[in-house]
Amino acid sequence: MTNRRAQLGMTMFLTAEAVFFFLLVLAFAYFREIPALIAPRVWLCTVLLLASTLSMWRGTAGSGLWLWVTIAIGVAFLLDQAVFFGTTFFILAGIHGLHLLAGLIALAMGPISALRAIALYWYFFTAVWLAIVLVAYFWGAA
Amino acid sequence: MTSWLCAIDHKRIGILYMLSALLFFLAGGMEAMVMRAQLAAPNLKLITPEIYNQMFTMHGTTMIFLVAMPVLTGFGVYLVPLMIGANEMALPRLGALSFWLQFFGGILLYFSFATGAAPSAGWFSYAPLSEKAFSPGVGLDYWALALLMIAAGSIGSAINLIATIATERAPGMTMRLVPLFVWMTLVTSIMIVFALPALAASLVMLLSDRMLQARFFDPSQGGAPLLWQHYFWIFGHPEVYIVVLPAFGMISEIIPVFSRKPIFGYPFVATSTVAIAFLSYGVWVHHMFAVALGRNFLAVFAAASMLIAVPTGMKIFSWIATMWGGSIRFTTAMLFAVAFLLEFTVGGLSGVAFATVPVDWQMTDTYFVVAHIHYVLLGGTVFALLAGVHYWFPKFSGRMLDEKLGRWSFWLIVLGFNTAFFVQHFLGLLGMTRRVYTYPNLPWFGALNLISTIGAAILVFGILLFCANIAMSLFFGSVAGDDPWNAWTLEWAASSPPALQNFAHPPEVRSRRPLWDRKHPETADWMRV
Amino acid sequence: MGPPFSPHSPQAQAIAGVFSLVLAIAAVVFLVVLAGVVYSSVRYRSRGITTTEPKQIFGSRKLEVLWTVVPLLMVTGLFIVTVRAMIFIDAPQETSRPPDLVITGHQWWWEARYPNGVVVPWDIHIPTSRRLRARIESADVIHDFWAPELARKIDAVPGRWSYIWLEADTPGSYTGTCSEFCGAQHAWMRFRVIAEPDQSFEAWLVDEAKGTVDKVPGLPERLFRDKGCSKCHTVFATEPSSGKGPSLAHLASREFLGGGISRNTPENLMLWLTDPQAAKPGNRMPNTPLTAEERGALLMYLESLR
Repeated sequence: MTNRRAQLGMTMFLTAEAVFFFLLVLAFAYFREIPALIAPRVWLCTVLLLASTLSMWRGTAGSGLWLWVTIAIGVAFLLDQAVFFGTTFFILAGIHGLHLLAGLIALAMGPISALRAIALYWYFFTAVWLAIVLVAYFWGAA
Repeated sequence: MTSWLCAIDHKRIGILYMLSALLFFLAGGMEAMVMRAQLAAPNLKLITPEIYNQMFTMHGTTMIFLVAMPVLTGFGVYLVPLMIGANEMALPRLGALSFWLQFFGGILLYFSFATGAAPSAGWFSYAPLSEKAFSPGVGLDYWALALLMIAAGSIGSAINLIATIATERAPGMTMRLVPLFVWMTLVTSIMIVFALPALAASLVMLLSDRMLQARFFDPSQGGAPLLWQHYFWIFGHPEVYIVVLPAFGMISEIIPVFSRKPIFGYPFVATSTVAIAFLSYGVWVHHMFAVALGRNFLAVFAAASMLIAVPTGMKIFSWIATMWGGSIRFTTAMLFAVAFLLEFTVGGLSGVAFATVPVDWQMTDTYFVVAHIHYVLLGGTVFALLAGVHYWFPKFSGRMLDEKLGRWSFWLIVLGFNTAFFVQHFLGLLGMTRRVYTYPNLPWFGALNLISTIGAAILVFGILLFCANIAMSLFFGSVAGDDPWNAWTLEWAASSPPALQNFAHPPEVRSRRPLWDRKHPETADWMRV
Repeated sequence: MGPPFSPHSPQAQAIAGVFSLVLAIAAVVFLVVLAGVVYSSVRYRSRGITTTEPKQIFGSRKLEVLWTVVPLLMVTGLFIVTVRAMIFIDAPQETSRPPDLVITGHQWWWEARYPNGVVVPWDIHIPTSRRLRARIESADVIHDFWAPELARKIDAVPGRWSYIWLEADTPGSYTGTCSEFCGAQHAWMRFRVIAEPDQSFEAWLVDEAKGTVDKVPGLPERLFRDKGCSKCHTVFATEPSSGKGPSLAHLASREFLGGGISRNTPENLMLWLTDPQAAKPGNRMPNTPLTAEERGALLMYLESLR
C-alpha cells in the first residue's frame, strides 16, 4: 500500500515537472537560446545518462552495487555539464542538473521503500535530457 | 508548542494552514485599508505613489497566494480524510513540508518590506516593467523567489490530496459516492499540478532576466513582453478556478444540510466541475483582450470564456433547487451560503461582460474589474469560507460559535462588502482606471471613492467581530457534540474535535450520505432505485 | 452612466450598444436568481422545531437540461453579437500602409507624431471629417491608450505596433488616460483628444510646426541649453523627441501640466524648476541646482513658449 501512495505521488510530481520543463524548453527554443548541440561532448553526456538509467534499472531489481554505479555516473554527468557554463543555455541545463543532483542525494540517502519512486524520477529526468537534446538537434541555434 | 511545529497529523496541519492564512489575511486587509484611506478623497497625500504601488502588489499577492489558496488547502487537508473515512493523509510528511514551504515563502515575501523595497509591479508583474531596468530594487526578486517556494508548497499539498483521495477511501466509497467537497478538492488539486508549474516556469524566466542577463521579456534585446503574459495567464486563469472550486464544494455541503435535502443533481454538479477544469485552460487570453492579437484569435477565447459560464451558472441553479421544497434553517453558516449565491452571481455576470470583447475593450483595467474580482473572490470564496468556518468550527474545536455574534458579523460584512464594492462598478464606468494612487476631482469620483472607503471600514469591523466570535467561542462556546447540525457526511461521525485516530473502525459506506443511512435505516439513500 | 455611454464615434457607439445588451441580460439573469433565492428562503423556511424531514429530491434531468441549454443559447447569441461588433470596431493591423498618426506612450506621458513631423504631447488634435488610423507604440513598458468616448482601449506594447480607428463625430475635447499599470506615475498619464473641424485642424497643424518663441533676451534660451534642459526637452514641435521627456513646444498654451497632475499656472510650473519630485513624485526629471534668478529667467522663457 505504501508503495502505491509513493508511486502515485511521484507520478503527479513528475506531471508537474513535465509541464514546467515543457514550457521552459518551448521558450528557450523559441528564442533560439538552445545551441545546436552537435558536439561529441553532448553525445557522451547523453550516453552517460542512458547508462545510468540501465544501472538504475539493475539497481531496482535488488542489487545495491548498481545503485552506487548510478550515483557515480550521475556525478560524472553533472561534472561534464560544466562545458556549457556561460551561455544562457546553462540556465536550462542548470535547472535540469539541479534536479538530477536532488535525485542523486535522494538515491544516496533515501530509504529503500522509496527506491521505485526515485527510479521513476531518474527515468523522467533522463527523458527530459533526451527531449532537450532532440529539440536542440532540430531547432537549435547554429 | 513544539508538537505543533513538528506536527504531521492532518488535523494539525489543517489548523496551521488556517492560522497562517488568518495572519496573512490581516496583513492583506491592512494593505487594503491603507489603499482605501489614500483613495478616500482626490489628491490625498497620505502615502507616496511608490508605497501605494507596493500596497496593491502585496495585497493581491498576499490574498491569492497566502490567504485563499492556503486556507482552502487547510480545509481540504483537515476535512478530506474525515470525509472519506480515513485516519490520515497518504503522504503526511509531504503535507507538513508543503505547509512550511508556503509559510516561509510568505515570510520571505514580507521580508522585502524590511529591505525598504517591497515589490511594486502588481500581483501579475507584467514585463518589461518587471525587468531590472524598470524595477531596479530587490523587491521583485523577493517576490519571484517567495512565489517559487509557495508554488512548490502548493504543488506538494495538491499531490498529497490526490494521493489521499485515490488510495485512502473507506471500503464502499467509490468515486461516485464521495462528498462534493472531496470531489471539488480533487479536481482543484489536479488543476494545481497542471497550472502552478506554468507560474514556476514564468518566475524562473523572470529571475533569469533579472539576475542572469537572459532576455526573455526584454524587447530591446529581442525578447517578448507578451510571452510573460501568456505564460502567466496560462497559470493565472486556472488559478482563479483553483481558489473558487473548493468554495463551491463547501457550499455544496452546507446548503443541503440546512435545507434538510440532498444536493440537487449531484452528477451534474460533479461533471460540470470537470468541464470547468478543462475549459479553464482554454480561456487565458481573455486577460489580454486589449492587446492587438488578431480578431480571430481573440474570438476563440471569447467563445471559451462565455462557454465556461454555463457549467458555473448551472451550479447556482442546483443550489437554489436544493433549497426549494426544503425546511430551511438560517444558521449563520446558511446565511453566508445564501449570500454567496447572490454575490457570486453578480461577480459571474460581470465576468460574462468581460468575456464580451467590445465591453472588455472599454472596461478592462478599470474599477469595473476591481468590482468583478472582489465579487467573485470576496463575495464568492470568502463568503463560502465564512460559511464553512461557521459550519465546521464545532468539529475543529468541539465548541459552537455564538449565533447572535454570528448574525451581527454577517450583516456588517454584507453591508460593508456591498457598499465598498458595488459602487466600484460605477467608478469603472465613469472612467477610473485601476492601480492609481490618486485621481482627479471629476464629478462623482470623490463621492463614490469615499463611499467605497466607508464600506471597507464597515467590512473590517464585521471581520473583526467574526474574529472575536472565534476567540471567545474557543474558550466560552457551548459544547458542540459530534453532530450538532444533524448532518450526513462522515466527518460528523468522528468526535469533536476528532481523536488522533479519526475512526476506530472504517465506517460503512453505501451511499453519498452514510449518516443519513444510519439515522434513517428505512429510507436509506442506497435503497433508492 | 459614464463615458462609454456617451459615445462620439461609430466604434464607441457599437461598443455602447453591445454593453447595453450585456447589462440587460445580466439584470434579467440576476433577477431570476434573486427571485429563486428569496422565494425559497421565505416559502421553505423551517417554522418551529420539526422532526420530519422534507421530501428528499435528488435531481431532475429535465430541469438540468433546461438550465444548461437556455444559458448555452444565450451565450451563443451573445457571441454572435460580439464577433460582429469586433469586426466593425477593429482597425486593420497591416503595416504596409503608413498610419495617419503615431501615438507613443512613455513613462509617464503620451505624445502624438503627425505625418508633417509635428510632435505634440498630451493634447492630440484630430479632424472631425474623417477617421484616422492611429498606430500605438511604447517607448519603454506596456501602456494602454484609452479615450472611452471615442475608441476601444489598446495596449501599447514595446516592440509591437498596434492600430486603432480614431475619430470623433462632433468637435470637442475628449479625455483619456493610460490604462495599464506602467510604474510610479501611471495615475497621471492623462491626455485629451481634441477634435475640430477640418479647417481649424489644418490651421492648428501649420501653427504647431512654427516656432512660436516670442522675442525674449537670449540668456534664458542659453540657460535652457547650458543647464541641460534641452537634453530631454525640445521646444520646437518639429524637433524629433528625445524620448527622455515631453516636448515643451507651446507649453504656455497648455491647460495642464504633468499629465493632468496640476493646472498650468506660473506657481505650478515653478515647482517643476525647484523640486520636480514634489511636482510629480517618482518622475525621472533630475533636480538641477539653480539659483533663484536662473529659475526666474527659465520660467519667463517657458511662459514665452506660446
